[in-house]
Amino acid sequence: MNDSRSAMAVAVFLVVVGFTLGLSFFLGRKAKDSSGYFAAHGQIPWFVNGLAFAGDYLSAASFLGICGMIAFYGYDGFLYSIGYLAGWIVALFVIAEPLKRLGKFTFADALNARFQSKGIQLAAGISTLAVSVFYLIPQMVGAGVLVQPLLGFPHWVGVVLVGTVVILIVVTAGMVSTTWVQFIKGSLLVIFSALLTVLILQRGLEVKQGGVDGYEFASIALGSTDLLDAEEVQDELAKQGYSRIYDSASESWAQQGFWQLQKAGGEHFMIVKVFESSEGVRLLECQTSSPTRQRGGIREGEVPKEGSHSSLAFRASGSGLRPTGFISRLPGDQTSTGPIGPWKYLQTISDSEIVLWRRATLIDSTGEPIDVYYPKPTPGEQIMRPGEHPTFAGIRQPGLWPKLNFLSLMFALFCGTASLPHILIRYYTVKDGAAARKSTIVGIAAIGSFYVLTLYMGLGAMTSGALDVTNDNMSAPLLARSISQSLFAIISAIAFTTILGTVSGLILASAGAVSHDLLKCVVGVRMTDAQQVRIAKIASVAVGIVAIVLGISFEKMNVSYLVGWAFSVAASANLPALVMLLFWRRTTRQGIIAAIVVGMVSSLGWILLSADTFDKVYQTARPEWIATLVPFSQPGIVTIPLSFLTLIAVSLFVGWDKGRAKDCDF
Amino acid sequence: MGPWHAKDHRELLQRLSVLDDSNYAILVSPNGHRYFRRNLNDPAERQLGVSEPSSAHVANTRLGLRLFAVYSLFYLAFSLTGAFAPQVADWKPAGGVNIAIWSGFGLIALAFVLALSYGLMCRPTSVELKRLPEASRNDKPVEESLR
Repeated sequence: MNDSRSAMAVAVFLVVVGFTLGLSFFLGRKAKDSSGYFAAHGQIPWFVNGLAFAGDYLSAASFLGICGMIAFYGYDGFLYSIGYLAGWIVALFVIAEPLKRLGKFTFADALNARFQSKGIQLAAGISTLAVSVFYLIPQMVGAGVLVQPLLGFPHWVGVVLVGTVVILIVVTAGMVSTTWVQFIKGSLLVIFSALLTVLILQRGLEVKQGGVDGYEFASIALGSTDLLDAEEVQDELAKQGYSRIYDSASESWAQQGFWQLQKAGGEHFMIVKVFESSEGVRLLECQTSSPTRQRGGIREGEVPKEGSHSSLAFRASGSGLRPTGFISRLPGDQTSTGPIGPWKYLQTISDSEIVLWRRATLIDSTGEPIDVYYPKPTPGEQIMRPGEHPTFAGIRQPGLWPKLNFLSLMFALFCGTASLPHILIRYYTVKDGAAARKSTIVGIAAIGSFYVLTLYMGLGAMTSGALDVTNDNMSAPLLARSISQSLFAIISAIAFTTILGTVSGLILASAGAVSHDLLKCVVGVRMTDAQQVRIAKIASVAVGIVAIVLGISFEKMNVSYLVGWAFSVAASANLPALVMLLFWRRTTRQGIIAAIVVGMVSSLGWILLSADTFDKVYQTARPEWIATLVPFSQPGIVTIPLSFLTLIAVSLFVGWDKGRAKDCDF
Repeated sequence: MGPWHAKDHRELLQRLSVLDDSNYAILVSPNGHRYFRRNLNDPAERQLGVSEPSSAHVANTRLGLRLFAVYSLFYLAFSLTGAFAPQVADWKPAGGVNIAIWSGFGLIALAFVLALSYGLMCRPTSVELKRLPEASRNDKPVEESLR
């Protein structure tokens, strides 16, 4: 069922996207000069701007990434919601008004308002570009993820499609249309998320043994059988119509907790996970896929082909696997709750047992790796607390580094929002500080409500029976499809426009950085207003192409996790310079340049050398000396203070008067 | 208020090379430490002249920093507990839901409450006062009219 297409869904999708584009072209006609192109003439009403903040901020990461992470790991995804919202406190209470007073068009201008330094303009321009590109990656990955189930295109087509449409939007429009698109999309996202949550509560919770395709995964109870006694095991299995198969790989598989079984009277093989609990031993049916044999996957509605060894690897649908996500036990041994209230929903999940799915790689007897997805019945109370996701699992183990990794992420999320260039430029689209303040409050209200809903949507997806075990990013759209096709189409279209809007904003910020900060102010290219807008548009196309390429390369990573990195880079490079400029009078231009460069290079370097990057991107073992140098993956807790200290040290060393006399002589 | 002065915006803009239009003037405080931008196309901002009262801005900034400190304390406690005492998350204080959920919702609600308080408690700056209807203004300096 994972790849079925509905003409109605596609039509709804096209209408919403077409409307967005039409609006963008219509409004774009008004923005002909650079003030209109970059800052919407500073005349956007605060309420609209506030919801546009929400539209900008509730990107693919929030909608797809957080819901996906909650659906797969529970509370750990919600930590991102909490951290993302907390970042707005820094933005509102510390940055909003002073920035509005200082600013012009770009973040670099704001930093440079006191010192007219080409060095600052260059450093800030490059950091804007770096952060925007980093933030673009997850958006593009999310775009591919959305198009896959809806239109049936492969991931890369989705990425190219979004890239092209966004380039069109940005080239033809500018900040006015981007703002209105974000306003509409931000409002729709919150409204439809609320609707989805109501429907989740209406549906309630139900005990199942499989996903929405009706297939029931085998669960073979062995009771108190001694697993080391091969004969006893075979006898017990025989009673239930199975036998255990031994080959050259069996021993290494058994060490990882996996067995191969054969159903009596047939040649059908099955991989099972040995699961021990207080209720005894259970053998749980796994799903397998192998990239090299993907084409053998069965299609929707087909019965798994029995009788051939190759069927072992393919138990599922178009994406290769069966939909999952179900509750194996409800409190009080109920089978279904019926419609349920929001608070009761959380209570019930806490007291239930839910089957989560995890991945392991096994080597088969021919030496070929097989990805095995195995069920992991998990108590609800474990799902509703931090520590289930591999990134956070370390907080429940001894050792300081995993704990620091957790703190580092929370710190980066807190500091990152106020340093994101595409959020910062939105402060210039309203007329004054009060409007900036009001729009931030509206933004916080909309974003906060949405983040509360993410918990319900994530848990709803976790128990929807519609999850794709290979890709957590798809959980929210698949949840919508498990409820209704039309809702799925609308949610997908909103998510798609979410990506369009966010990517437009980011590309606009990057284009501003290239044309305004780098070319005009640093290189000193003299441009007319029209030329500046034209250069910005050319830059948009270039950045868009880079984003497309990166979006295709990072397909398999959780988008929220990628955004966590973008936040770390933004917070390390931009926040110290911005905060110190606003609150420390002895800040010098050299201090600002040094802080941006050190923050950006150290955080990027840390990420590129982290265990996660080696694991998921380079896919090679990490040398020991690098592991010593970079003991945990999230850079924020080291690189943000480092950037602050650099600014203070350099400013004190250079001296306020010297720095000021040179650069600020009016 | 000290003698603030406004530089001729055209001269400044030429030197700054940051603004393409000539709608803005930059106000500079006597010690050169404070800068404000004024939109000369906006009558309210133009009338403002050189008597920009900084006290409303300063008060707002202080208020913002105080509220920021309050929220930071809660967020810090939440993060430190998560990192160093994760077993606390299992505690169910009320309603059959654990403290992890309570504190998560609590932080989101607190962010909204503090943001709203900030919006209500912020003092309007002179630019915003000038935008008020004629009847609601008086000729006293901004700081005094607010007391």
